Amino acid sequence: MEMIKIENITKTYKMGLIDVHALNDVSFTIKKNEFVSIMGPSGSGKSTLMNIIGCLDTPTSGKYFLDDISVEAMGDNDLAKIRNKKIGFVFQTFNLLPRTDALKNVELPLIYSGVSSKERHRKAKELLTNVGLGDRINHNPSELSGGQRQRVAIARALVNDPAIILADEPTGNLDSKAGEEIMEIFSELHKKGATIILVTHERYVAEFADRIIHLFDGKIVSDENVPKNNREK
Amino acid sequence: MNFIEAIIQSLSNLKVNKLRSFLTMIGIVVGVAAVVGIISMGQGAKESINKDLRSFGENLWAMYADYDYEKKKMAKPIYESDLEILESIGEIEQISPVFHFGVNLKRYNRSLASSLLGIDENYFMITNRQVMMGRNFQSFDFEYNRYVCIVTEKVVDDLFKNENPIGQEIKINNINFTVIGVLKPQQLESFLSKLVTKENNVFIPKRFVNRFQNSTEISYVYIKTKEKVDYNEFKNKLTRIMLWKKGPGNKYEVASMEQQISVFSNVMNTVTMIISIIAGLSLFVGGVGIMNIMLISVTERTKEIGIRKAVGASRGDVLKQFLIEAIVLSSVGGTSGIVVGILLSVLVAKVAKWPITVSVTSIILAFTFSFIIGVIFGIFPANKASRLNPIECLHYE
Repeated sequence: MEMIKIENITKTYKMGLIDVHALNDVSFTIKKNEFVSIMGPSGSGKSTLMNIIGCLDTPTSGKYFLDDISVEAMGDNDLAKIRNKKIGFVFQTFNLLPRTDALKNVELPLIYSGVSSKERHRKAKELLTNVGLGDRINHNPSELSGGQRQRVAIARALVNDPAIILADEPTGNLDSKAGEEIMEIFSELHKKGATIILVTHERYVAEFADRIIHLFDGKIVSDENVPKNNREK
Repeated sequence: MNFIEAIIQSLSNLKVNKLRSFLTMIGIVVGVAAVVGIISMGQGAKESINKDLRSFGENLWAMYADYDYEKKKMAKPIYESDLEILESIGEIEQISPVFHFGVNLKRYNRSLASSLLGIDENYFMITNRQVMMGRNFQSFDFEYNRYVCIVTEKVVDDLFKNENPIGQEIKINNINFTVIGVLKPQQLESFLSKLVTKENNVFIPKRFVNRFQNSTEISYVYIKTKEKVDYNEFKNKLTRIMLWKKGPGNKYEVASMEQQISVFSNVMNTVTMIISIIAGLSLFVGGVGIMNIMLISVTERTKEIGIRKAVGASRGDVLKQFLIEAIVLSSVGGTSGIVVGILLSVLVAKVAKWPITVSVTSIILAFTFSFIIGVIFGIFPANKASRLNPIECLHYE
């Protein structure tokens, strides 16, 4: 089953008089329960692609089906709903609300989907326990280490049972030990059936995935499967 | 996101910046307190003064011959013989002519320039006055040649010092009169009591007026109506009858206590309104303060807006959140302002000794107004926040 189907997507920005083609005729599909890494140097268009997949941005042309829903022509409100229900973001800089405890941070997506406060509380607590922060639910981000913050962010990404998890350089701000722990969590999630798209420029991190898509100058230059033995190292 | 959820979110955001929220609210608190306080105080002052004015006599009218400035002549004086015709007017309950002129009072070597009022038996009833020492005039005082008088406190103070004046004689322009009573001063509760000078009057039965002057012109006529009557209608009726009796080209002025009260009330209302509007300006300034802080808040929380949008907040959700924050600021400020305003007006009412009146209208008005200020000054920052691009917000540092 295809979770993401991208057909001939282009994205053009106007920079003064010049048109910049951030994405140029990109097509690929990602199946349910796939773990895909997107690699490429800066300026290759991988952030733009992530924003489009994450419904934070819309393509200039082309088609995008997410879980069989055509999203490329959706309005602002519908995109917000898709982001809320279908997508779980994990960012390099964690992007947690400051001065707000872990529990409230994880509850945030549920607030926008209208879940009752009791149910929100239960679910957020459950997910924080799953990522190993059951004893830290009332800590503010400033009281947590980088790895712990990223785990809160993962719990937040998962709280609404999204169709895909989008992780943008999730280990970029972490030391190698914490980074590895985070990648272990992603592998666990993948084993349990999650569809994960990971943006990174580190080969080592990318190889946790089944498949690596390379972008260069807004185009896909390679789409390789990661040998199983490599992943299991 | 539902409404209650939005309010909870807003409150927790405002709690994070307690000091700032408090300082922002002060503008609204002061504005609302000023408006509520001033309106309540204005009403209290008005009511207490109206009560005093009413104590001068209910349904009381006065009529007198007036100077016509256009024709440059005085109207024909009113005589007692003119009053009979007034008795035919159905609305009138009592009529009391008053002869009022200056006299010199003397007792032994003490003297006092005073006002003499020649009155009939209706006068004290119509004007709602009582005697505090001695006795009031009785009908026999009017029927027989009894040289008796009633004086005010001022006369007693100046001519009698510490003696009991009752039964004593005084000379009014060299004619001996026996003091039979001392008039109780007007009981005024409002600050009017501080403005009114001590009454300096001597009252005698009107039959002796001709002992002091040849003319028998009435100075003014007090008229008491049976019930409240329309000012203009009754005034026209009286003047019409007087002109019919005395001939055209004369001017008779008619004044009523109700009219005085309503003129006074109008003045008080206008003054209260003008001061309230000035106080209301501070509400406007408070509103600008809220807008200013909200704009800063939107900039400061750009990243937060990005995060919220990324996890599924729609434009409407973000708009709602910031708008409610502004409204909560202004409404909480407004409510505190109402409380402060009420406390203020109660305090002033206690000190000034007028009735405590808390104007419900002003409370509702003040609250509604501060709510609207929240909406007006919150909508622009909220709209700005809702239109931010989530990608740019997430990269904002």
